[in-house]
Amino acid sequence: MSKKTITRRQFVAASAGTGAAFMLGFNTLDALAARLTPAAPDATPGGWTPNLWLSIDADGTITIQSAKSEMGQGVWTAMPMIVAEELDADWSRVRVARAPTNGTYNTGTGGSTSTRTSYMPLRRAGATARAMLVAAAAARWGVPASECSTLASVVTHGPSRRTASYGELAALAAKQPVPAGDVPLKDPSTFRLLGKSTPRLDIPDKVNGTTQFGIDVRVPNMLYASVARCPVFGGSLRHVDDAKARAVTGVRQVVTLDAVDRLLPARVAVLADDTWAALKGRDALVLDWDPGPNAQYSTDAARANYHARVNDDAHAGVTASRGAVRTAGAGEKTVEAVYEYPLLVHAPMEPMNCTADVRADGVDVWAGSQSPDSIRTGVARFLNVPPDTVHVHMTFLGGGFGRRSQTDYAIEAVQLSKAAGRPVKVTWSREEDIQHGYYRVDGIQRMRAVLDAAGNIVSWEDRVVGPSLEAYAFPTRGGGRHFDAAEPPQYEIPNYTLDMVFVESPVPIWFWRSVANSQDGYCNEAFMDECARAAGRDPVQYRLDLLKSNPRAQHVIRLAADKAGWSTKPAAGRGRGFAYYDYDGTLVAQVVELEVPATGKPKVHRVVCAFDCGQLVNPDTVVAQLESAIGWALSMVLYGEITVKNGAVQQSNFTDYKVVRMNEMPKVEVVLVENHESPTGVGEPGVPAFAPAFLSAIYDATGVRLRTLPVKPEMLKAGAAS
Amino acid sequence: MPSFILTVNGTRRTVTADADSPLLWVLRDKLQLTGTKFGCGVGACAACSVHVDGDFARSCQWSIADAAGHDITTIEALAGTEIGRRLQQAWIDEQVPQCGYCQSGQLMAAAALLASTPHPSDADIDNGMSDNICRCATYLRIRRAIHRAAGNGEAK
Repeated sequence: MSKKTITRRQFVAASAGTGAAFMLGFNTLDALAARLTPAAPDATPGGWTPNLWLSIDADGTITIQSAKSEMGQGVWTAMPMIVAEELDADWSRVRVARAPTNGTYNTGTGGSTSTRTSYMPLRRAGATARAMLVAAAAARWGVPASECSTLASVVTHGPSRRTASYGELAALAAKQPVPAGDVPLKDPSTFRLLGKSTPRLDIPDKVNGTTQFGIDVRVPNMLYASVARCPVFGGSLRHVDDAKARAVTGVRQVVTLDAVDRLLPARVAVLADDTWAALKGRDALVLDWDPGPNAQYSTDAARANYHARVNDDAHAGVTASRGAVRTAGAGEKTVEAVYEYPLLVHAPMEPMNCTADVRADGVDVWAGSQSPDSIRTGVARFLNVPPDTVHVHMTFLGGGFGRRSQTDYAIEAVQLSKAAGRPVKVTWSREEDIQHGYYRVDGIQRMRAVLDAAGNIVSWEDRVVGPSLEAYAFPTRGGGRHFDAAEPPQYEIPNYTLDMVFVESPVPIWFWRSVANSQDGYCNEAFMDECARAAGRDPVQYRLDLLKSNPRAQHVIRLAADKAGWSTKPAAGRGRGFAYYDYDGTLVAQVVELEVPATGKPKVHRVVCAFDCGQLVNPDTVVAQLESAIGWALSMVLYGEITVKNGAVQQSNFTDYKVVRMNEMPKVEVVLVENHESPTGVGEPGVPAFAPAFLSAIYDATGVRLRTLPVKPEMLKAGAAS
Repeated sequence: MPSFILTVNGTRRTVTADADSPLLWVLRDKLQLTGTKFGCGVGACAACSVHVDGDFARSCQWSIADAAGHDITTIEALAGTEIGRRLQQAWIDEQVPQCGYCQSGQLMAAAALLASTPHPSDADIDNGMSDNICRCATYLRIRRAIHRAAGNGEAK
């Protein structure tokens, strides 16, 4: 038995109970993963693989695994930085490898959880390896380990000034016992890497076209597929005439695919020698769809129904409460408002795609995924084969935003390869992406507050009316829970009730960048602005007064207000709006400054964002994510709307599902809080505060109070206020 | 199927394809130049941008028949020009890409912009770059990187 295997098993055993990632057991590394993803981190001869997360070669090269999917948020660099910090690695000798998808690692990437959940396990992995390198050096020199220090992949014995590199020590370190119990971690004030902006390791390949995305995968003997999907949600295929499709040069096969319950609609696929032939063949199909039970469904009617049911107390399920809500007494004031939000689609720049090869001896799947282990287990379930025979090869993701945590596109590729008996790559058109996506839920929220004579909020009610993401994504749990809107108020409010009137919908719904917070931040904070104005108070001071016991929140709010010059008037014609949001412990305050010209289309000039996510890992990445989140949210408020008529999505491409472009991107000024609190999320938390700050700024600029998204120019055209 | 001759990144290539085949899919599927990306198929996002005879072109809107006889440059050959190398370095210096999928098209559009307007103003950049969509909204860094590559100073 090799030393490497022994030390790995020992390490896993010694680490049991110290972190979820280590508790999943140890499997032989999946050699097939090397077919596309970078090599597994087995050290070269003379090197050492101390644990699941890193290896050290004799030449000093350090390979660190990232179990998280790189989709632009920078984990490909941040995860290795955390290991390297505690290892005291020479960062210039660190390279990153993709952890295999074999059930050993938690590969799920979403909810802004990568750093939050990986921080301590990765620090321990680095610290444990460092302790064994120090022990190896101490043993070689016959000195106490306590007299040795580490820096940049070198162990130094202070009294004798002897040094040895990690590469030299690797083989000897492999013979050291794995420390029992937790090794000491660094005092964060001594961090050398964490908190310092570090160039991202994935960027050089992204400027020369060599980065491999799922859509770039090519395997021998592969066919290319394009798929026609029933345009109406829940419809089925009556008949297909494929004669013309088969006559297209390059078309090899036409396959009718059954619907997959809760995952994929009825479809007809054309398999061809290249993508264009497949697309032409698909367009030549003559299809007769049965629209099924949702042929009359429309989002207009659905929204009218939400409003009709907003006072349906008998069917409102309480999701959270504190104290007892009440009506206004003498001298008190009731504030009430109903906010509307539409369906949204993710539209990542890389359309959905996947390549699969289903054989008698196993299955290979190549995909960019936020949840490769879900693909592995989902494909195994779908084909009724053991998960160990399903090999998922991860690529980079051309955007995720939650869409790539679903497995539909991978199951589809598997269906196609099984039917064809050879490898198949399926590439969705943009129209399919827009019309057959998994959507951010639509709905309305009715907010109601009672202000006492001093303007303080003494009672708060938040009712959600609409479909339930929780019920869709986790059908056994029922609706109205964690992933549905209506977070408890983030302020010191003694009495509140949150409830939900759950309305069924045929539209598939899913996680979308910032999930329910995208509705909740909007409704809660837009309403807070209304409460502040109703109380005759400054919206910033009003919030500060409601967060007296939360100094971190107060700090973030003050930073944003100060940076934006909140106490001074904006330039003539401009309005300013403020919002604050606590996103699972990440604290965000934003100030939006805009003007509304006569055309009615708001022009955002400037966004200030103060941000406290605890210990910063790679600060420049945090800034980039906030710029990104603000651009994302600006698309949402200016354009974001999917409408359904006669059971089918009406939008089709970037021509009618518009997103923000260069000429609309505002100046973004980020203020990062530096501290050593436990790190929290970064990728999503910049989204929720933007919409309410934007609406507040419109009110400030025009006096028009809007309670619907997106904001359309006709709502604000000159004269609309009257 | 007919054959077409075109010059791609300085090399003469003969391609057998239907005349209506978009240049995009010829580059990606037949010539294995996958740096050029599919984003929308209707000329609305510019992820597929290349240069045709040095000019910015959306390759999903050019058929192989139209492209035949022209000089095509893709992201794979961007480093062959001084402007291209400066832009790629500026993209790294400003840490522009996030997911990176649209960046080939962004860089090709930026190279065409700098070729015609060596020192673009912000308004020039708005005009030259607003065909290109980035869902990660890296626009601020793209703007800074173009200014940097143009030697306009580190405009913020």
